[in-house]
Formats: sequence, structure tokens, C-alpha cells
Amino acid sequence: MTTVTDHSHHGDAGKPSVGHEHDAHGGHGHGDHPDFVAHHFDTPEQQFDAGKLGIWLFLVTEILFFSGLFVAYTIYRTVHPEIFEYAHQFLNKYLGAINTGVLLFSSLTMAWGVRCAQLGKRWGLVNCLGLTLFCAAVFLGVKTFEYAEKYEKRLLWSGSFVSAPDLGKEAWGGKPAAHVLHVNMESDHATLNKRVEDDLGYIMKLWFWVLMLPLAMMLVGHWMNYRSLRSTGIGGLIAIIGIMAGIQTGLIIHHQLEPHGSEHGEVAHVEGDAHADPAKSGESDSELATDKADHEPKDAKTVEKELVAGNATETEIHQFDRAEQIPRNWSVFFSIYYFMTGLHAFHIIGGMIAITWLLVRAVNNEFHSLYFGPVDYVGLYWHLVDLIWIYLFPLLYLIH
Amino acid sequence: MAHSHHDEGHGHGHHGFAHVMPVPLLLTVFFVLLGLTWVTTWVSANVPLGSYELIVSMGIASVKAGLVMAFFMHMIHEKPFNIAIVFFSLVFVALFVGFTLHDKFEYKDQETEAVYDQIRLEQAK
Amino acid sequence: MATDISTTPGSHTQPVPPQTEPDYLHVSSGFSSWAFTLDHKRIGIMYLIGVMAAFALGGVFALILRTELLTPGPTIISADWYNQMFTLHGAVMVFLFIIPSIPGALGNFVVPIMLGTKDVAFPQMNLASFYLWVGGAIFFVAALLTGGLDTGWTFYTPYSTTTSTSVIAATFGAFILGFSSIFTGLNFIVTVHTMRAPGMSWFRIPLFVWAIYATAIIQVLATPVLGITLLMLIAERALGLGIFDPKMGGDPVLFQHFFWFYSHPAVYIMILPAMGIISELISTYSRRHIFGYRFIAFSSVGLALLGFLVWGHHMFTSGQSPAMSVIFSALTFSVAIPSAVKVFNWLATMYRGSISLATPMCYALAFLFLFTIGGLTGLFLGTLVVDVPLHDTYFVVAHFHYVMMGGTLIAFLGGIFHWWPKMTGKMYNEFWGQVSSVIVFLGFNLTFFPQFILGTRGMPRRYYNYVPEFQSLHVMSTVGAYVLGLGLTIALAVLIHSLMRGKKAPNNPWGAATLEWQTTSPPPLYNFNYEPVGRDPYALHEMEYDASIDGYKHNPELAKLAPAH
Ligand SMILES: [Cu+2]
Repeated sequence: MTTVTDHSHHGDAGKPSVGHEHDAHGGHGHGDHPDFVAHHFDTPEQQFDAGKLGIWLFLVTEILFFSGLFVAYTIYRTVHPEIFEYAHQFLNKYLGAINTGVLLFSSLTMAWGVRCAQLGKRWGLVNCLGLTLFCAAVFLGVKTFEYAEKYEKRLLWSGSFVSAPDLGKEAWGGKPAAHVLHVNMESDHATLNKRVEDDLGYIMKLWFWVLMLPLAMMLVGHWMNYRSLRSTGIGGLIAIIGIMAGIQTGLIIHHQLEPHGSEHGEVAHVEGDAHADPAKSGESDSELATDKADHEPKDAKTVEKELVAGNATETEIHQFDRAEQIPRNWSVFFSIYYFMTGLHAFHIIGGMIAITWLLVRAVNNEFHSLYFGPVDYVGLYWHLVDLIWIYLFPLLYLIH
Repeated sequence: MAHSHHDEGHGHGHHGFAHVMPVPLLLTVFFVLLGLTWVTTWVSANVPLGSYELIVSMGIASVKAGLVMAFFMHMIHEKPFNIAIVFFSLVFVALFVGFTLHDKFEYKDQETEAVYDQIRLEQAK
Repeated sequence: MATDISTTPGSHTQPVPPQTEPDYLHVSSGFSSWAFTLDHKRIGIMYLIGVMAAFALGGVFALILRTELLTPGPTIISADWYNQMFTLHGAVMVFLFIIPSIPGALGNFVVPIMLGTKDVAFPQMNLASFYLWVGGAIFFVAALLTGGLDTGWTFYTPYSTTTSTSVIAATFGAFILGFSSIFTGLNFIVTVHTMRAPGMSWFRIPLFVWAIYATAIIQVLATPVLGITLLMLIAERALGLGIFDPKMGGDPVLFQHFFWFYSHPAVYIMILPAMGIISELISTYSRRHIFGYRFIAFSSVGLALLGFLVWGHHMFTSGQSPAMSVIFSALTFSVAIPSAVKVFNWLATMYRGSISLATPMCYALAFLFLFTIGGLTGLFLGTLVVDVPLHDTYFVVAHFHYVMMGGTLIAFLGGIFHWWPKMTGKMYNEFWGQVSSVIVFLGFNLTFFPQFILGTRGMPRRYYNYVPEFQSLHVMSTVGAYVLGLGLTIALAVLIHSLMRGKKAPNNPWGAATLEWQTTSPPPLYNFNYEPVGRDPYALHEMEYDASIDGYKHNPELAKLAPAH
């Protein structure tokens, strides 16, 4: 046991006693206590250590949370490698690589931000956090394009490939089946890009109006000399401008890559052929009856027509797939892809909210060498989200 | 009291209990990470590695992860216990993957969906 | 003021100063002073009320089930309702009651005081944990009202992805409850590491805190896997993910791996805190220093870790490969070692002790008896060849009720009676407390012992109907359930009576040496009105009875007379 002196220290012995600035907070009889230290902690260091251990434990829960998906991936890939070899061609590895770089850069700015917070550099921290938000928005912008494009081609999770009776209920969105990759993908690109751009333009307009809120807060705060309101306004402005710029940049990156891109260029036979997925649409009981009536094998052309029209039976689809050497159940690749990247994107959004909160507090000049914990903790979380992407990128995009 | 190293603003890079990372170090790490991303993408597109591909890409990813953890996440200055719990958690992930995968391997040759195909064909008749 | 008191030398001589400030119950009042409280004690009390309500709900389901099984064929409810009742009984008891009960209610109340700190490390997160529990409970009730749930609490695929009942509401509820559990566990780990009073070295931490700490390790490591499993189940059901669907090349056995990777360790989330309570009770009411402190402490952590290696023993007959079954069966025996270490140390503590049969000790003795039966029958089930005929029979039902109810619930009751004077400042009627423990013990055995026999004779679990030959055993079990219900009602009545009529509790009515008994009853807002110092939590011989207050006081002179332990 360490010697217990007449000073009152909680926690592990050896905590330095800090904080002899006077403060009127001694009402509970626990001594001098700086504002930034919560009442149940004795020293800034104890508070920091508790937070640090807490965030590491939280990261451990995140690791185990994602581990379930990595296990599912590993099991499925081990048993069905052919699905991954076939389906990866629908992902653009250059977009994936660029997004990896964007996230790495955001990790750099975040780490730099922690440094600024430790040194008490207010505007340095604000810049770093703003840049991090910008990168997050670029990442999500590119991701939105990737998702939108796959949606357009109906490259969706397996449930959407299976007709309603097979799921025992209405499938997702009420319009199951019929996914046909059309022969002419190029022309689709143009319409798709146009549409997503229109949507994004609309979202941008929305963001612009959202911008008015922090602007008003800033002005009112300034006018009333109400500091924290003004800081919230400025922080919010920086965050939203960063996000808007990020989405725009994501759009530009996608445009630079996609039209000449390798989306399907890598695998020639996909480009040329009409491809059908194991699918059928709206199969009713009567169709089932006809299905039973003519189970004789049809020729490939007929089946393909039926596939395009969405009338093929599941058996026919399987036969067609086999003839075209399309692996069975290849849509499960997209199930895994959407689940993993979707959950990751969800974590990105959570991080963006946390960074915005930090941004406001940074503008308010709350961080210094004895109190930078929140920046450090959010930073650690952000790096973990980056780490997960570092593994997702090769696992999903770089299969060959 | 033991080791009261609380000399604010003085000393060598000690700002309270903060461990400040020098900017050149952060930048170096970032460019190395970027380089590794380029390498792994380039290799994937241009070098036919066959069954080694997964090992190579996961190896590069792990090097990147190590760099992020060591420098961006300040693990080189972290308390040993905090480092330990992270690696400890990876042991449990390994356990999870290992046992489950081992069980699955026992059945690898039985293709359940082939059985299902058979059933569908039967039904169609 | 504390500043004056803190100048007293931090030795063993700390008189508890007279109460000068209001206790935590009276420091503020009104709805929002409870709803937005950050005080771990108030959060603990809210948890206590919540889990008791959940237990009452699950208990009503249990009585309905037992009544239905009074006769073969339909008795009071239809087969569909029966399926829903056993599912909801299991889900409510596991997710809403057993898992949060001891850590959430008693752990929250006593752990920070035992460590000599003002609060847990993250009070806001602690409150969030409680509200997440409430949120999860709302989803469960929603599932109950919108089509029920008939999958069993295990949510096995493919049935859970195809049944028409409210699987998504219930699984989402369990998902939220998982986060509640994670927040509680994370908070306790950080609190134990960073918030201990001076002098509170690792081996002066009371064994209840060690048990809660070990539990917290499991909560942090295992619960996220439940979270992702349930999320995948929701996606499988709503979107057709394909991972667990054999038609899509997926594997339903994989779901069971996922589920039991959490749910076997979760068994230790349920039982470890109970073991911690028993360590406190046995020592206090035998008036002896705990025997084998370090063995008990390390066996808690050992159980927490070994608990991760055995999940496959739930899958011996459900398609797991024979090779893995053999491995898991062998590993399962290893968990018997730390469990037995604890039981032997408790018995050694009682040996030549001056045992007082106060109500908490009655419950502790019941625990020893019931947990031993539950643990040993677990070994039968862990044995591969024995499990094959016993799997999914009433033998399994009896086994886990002996562990979960005979273990956790009984210990929870013992803990409530033990800490009740500290929590409320009121004493309860000792005689009726003892009566409740005896009736609960008898009723419990009458309910569940016949189920062992039913199981070995081949009565499958979760069945609505049975052959007439089984009726006499089923009748015994049903009668036992009502006796058990009576005993629990008496226990509740004793507690409510004490709130209204109980006499004021002294600071230390039991002569325990842990820190929570060295402050006022109930404690002040920041737990101590002096600066506490960690010391041997089982130095019971230093506690001296003072008839004038009908309680114990610390007498440092007695330390010198201490018999070697
Ligand atoms: Cu188990």
C-alpha cells in the first residue's frame, strides 16, 4: 500500500494534485476544482485516464461488433469463393482506392487536430476538424454514387433477387426480381449520372437553407454578445460548408473516373452480354401451375427473353446461370457488401456528428493541454472507422 | 507522491499528460499509408498472384492498420494496459473466427444448395 | 465539512461522522430530480424498480405456462398462445431481468461506495444505460402487443426469419438492451480502474466488485456480437440477406454460432454477480474473514474468460460437426473448476464460523444448495453422449432454472435483503424475511426437481401437450410454481412493509467491514461525509456490536486481538 497522506486523492496512488486556481465550486466540500474537471474526478489527469480507458473499451466493443460481419464474410467466402470471384467485377477498385486515400487523409487531419488541441491552438484545431468533415463528406459522396449506380442496375442484396413467394412475404419495396444487366450500360450511365446529379443538386439546395440556421445563430450571438451561441453558429457554418464542398468534390471525383472507368471494362464478357440474375418477378400461383406444366428445357434465347421480361421461373434461371457459368447465389456478395459498407457509412455519419460537436466547442476555445480528452477520444473513434475501411477495401474491392 | 510530472508548459514536449505528435512524423506516416494503398491497388490490378493475393492484400492492410494505430492513435505513447485490451479483443475475434470456421470446414464438401436445387427440380416436375 | 475531516489520519480509525447533510433520497425531490439524476444510487434504485417489474411480468407468464401444463392438452390457453408465452417468459426474464438485475440495480448502488468513490466514472452514460433499458423494454412490450413472439428467446433461424410474429420489434429491443448492458459494463471497468479510494489496492476490492468487474469484461467483449447477430437477423428477415439462409448458400448453424458466442458468456453475466453477492453474504453472516480471497477473485475472472471457449455445447445436436462437438464438450468441463473453487471457499469460510441465520444468509444457503445442483447437472449436459438424449428436454429446463433462478434470483433476493437497510435506511421484519426464504426454497425445489425426472423420462421442452403418464410430475411442478410465487410475494410484502413501518436502520446493522457499511444509512449524495480509505474488506473481527444503536462500530483496538485467519 502506498502511504496515504492527509491529502485526499482518489484513484490510483500517484495522481498529481492539480488545480489550485480558485473556483467557487467548493460547495460540496471537495476542494478546489477547475471547471473542466467533473465533480467526481479529483484531477484532470484522472478524468483524462478514465475517458481514455473508456474510449478504448468502446473501440473494443466496435471491433467485436464488426467482427461478426468479418466472420460471416470469411465463412461465406471460404465456402463459396466463386461468388466473390464473379461479383467483385461490379465494384470499381479505383473509386475504392480513392476513398481509402480520402479516409487516410481525414485520419491525418484528425491526428493533427489532436495535436492542435493538446497545444491549445484554437484555429488550427478548427481547420483540422473542418478538413476532416470535408473528407468524410467526399467519402460519403463517392459512396452515394456507387450505391446509386448499383441500385440502378438492381445489383442489390439477395432478398431483392428472390421473388416474393420464396421469402414468404412481399419482398423489399414490393417490386421483386427482374434484374437484368442491359446490354448497353454506357447509355445508362449518362441517365444515371444525370439523375443523381439532379438529386444532389436538390440536396445541395437543402443544405444551403440549413446553412441559414448557424448563420443566424452566429449573427444573433454576435449581436447579443452571447459567446456560446456565436461559437455554435461559426462551428455549424464551418461544418456545413465543409460537408457541402465535400459532396461536390465526391461528385467530381466520380465523374472523372466513372465514364471512362473500369466498372465493367475489366471483364469483357459482361460488357457484351445480356446478363440475368437469379430472379423472377411476381410469380403467382397460376404461374407456378404453368411452371409445372412446361418443365421441358427451353433454349437459351427464350429463357433470356423471359428473364428480361421477368417471367422466367426460378428453375429456368438456375439453368440459365449454369449455362452462362454465373455462380449460384452470387447476389449474396452484394448482401455482404451493402451490410459491411452500410454499417461503416453509418459509423462515418456518427463520427461526423461528433466532429461537428467538437468543432463548435473548438470555436468556443474549450480545449487546452489539460483538457483535450474529447478531441482525443473522437479521434480514436475516427481512426478505428478508418481502420475498418482499410480492411474492407481489399476484402471487397481487390478480389481478383 | 510518486512521479509528479506535472510541469505545465515546461520540459521536453510534455504538456501536462499530453503526448504531442510532431507534424513531420504525422505527414510521413500519411504518405507511407498513401503509398501502400497505391501499391495494393496496383498489385491487384496488374500482378496475378492467384491464391496468394488475399495474403498479400491483407498483409498490406495490416501494415497500414499498424501504422495508423501506432502513430495516429498514439499507441506508441499509450498505457500498456490500454494496448493490451485492444490486442486481447483481437484474440477473442480470432477465437470466434477460428472455431466457427473450423466447424464450417468439416462440412465444406456438402453443398447444401445443391441439395436445394435438387428439391426445386423435383418440385418443378 | 469534508475538508476538516480529511485531516484525520488515513488509518483504520475512521469514525463515521454524524449526518450533517441530507441523504441521497432527501437531497432533492420531484420527478425530474429522479428522471435526470446522475447519482449512481438513484439510478440503481430506478433499475431495481424496473427489473422487479420485468420479473413480475415474466413471472406471470411463467404461472400461465405452469397452469396450462397442469393437464395434458388444452387447459387454459391455445397452443399458439403457449408458444408466445414461453418465448416471452424467456426473453423478458433473460434480457429484461437477469442480465441487468444485479449489475444494474445492486451493482450501481454499491460498487462506487465499496470503492470509496463519489460516483461511477461516466454518470451520464450510466443514466443512458438505464434509459436504453427502458427503450428495450418498450420494444418488448410493443412486440407483445403487435403479434407476439413465438421463436423462443434464442431467435433461431430459419424459423425466426419466416414466422409471422413480431420478430423485428423484439430483436431490436434486445439489440438496444445489449447497448444498455455494454454501457453498464464499460462504466464499471473504468470505475474500478481509475476511481478507487486511496489505499484501495486491487486486493482490497470487495469480492462483489471483482465479480461485477469480471461480468463487465464479458459485457464488453460478448454483447457487441449479440448486437451484430440481431442486426443480421433483422436484415435477413427484412431484406433477405442470405447469410443464414441455406437456399442462398448460407447456413442456419452459423446463426447458432453467432448467438451462442454471446449467449454462453451471457450465462456468466447472469451468474457471476450472484456469486459476488454470495461471497459478501457468507463472510458477513458467518462472521469470518473470507477464505481464499484471491482464489475467489481470480476464479471470477477465470470464469469470465473460460466462458468464451464453450459456446458449442448448445449445438451438439443441431448440426455442429462432431469434431467441434468433442472439442466443446471437453472445454466445457474446464468451467467447472473455477465454479467449484468458489463453492469450496465459501464452505471453508463458513467452517467454524459463527453463522447467523439472518434472512440474507438463508438466501445464501439456498443459493449454495441450488447452485450446486444446477452446476453439477450442467456437467451431465456438457458430456456429449449424455446430452444427446437429454438435449431439449425438461432436464435442460430444470438445469438452467437451478442455475439462473436458484442461483441468480436467490442471490439477488439475498443481496436486496442485505443492502436494503443501506438503500432505504429502514430495517425489515426479520422473521417474515426468513419465512419468505424458506417458502421460496421449498417452492423452487418442488417446481424444478420434478422437471429433472420429466426430462430423463423424455418430456421435451417447449411442448404444449404431453402423455398422461407425465401428469403427476407436471402437477407437482405447477403446485411448486404457486408456492414459489407465494414466497416471492411474501418477500415483496416484507420489503414494502419495511418502507412504511420499518425502524430506522443503523449505519452497520450486520457488522460488515466493506466501505458501504462505513457510511450513513442511507448514504449522502457523494456517499461519504469523510474521506474513505481502502482497507481489508473482510476484517469483521474489528467490528464491535453497540447495543445502544443496535448496530456495529469499527473498533481499531480489536485489530490487535485478531485471530489468524
Ligand atoms: Cu452454455
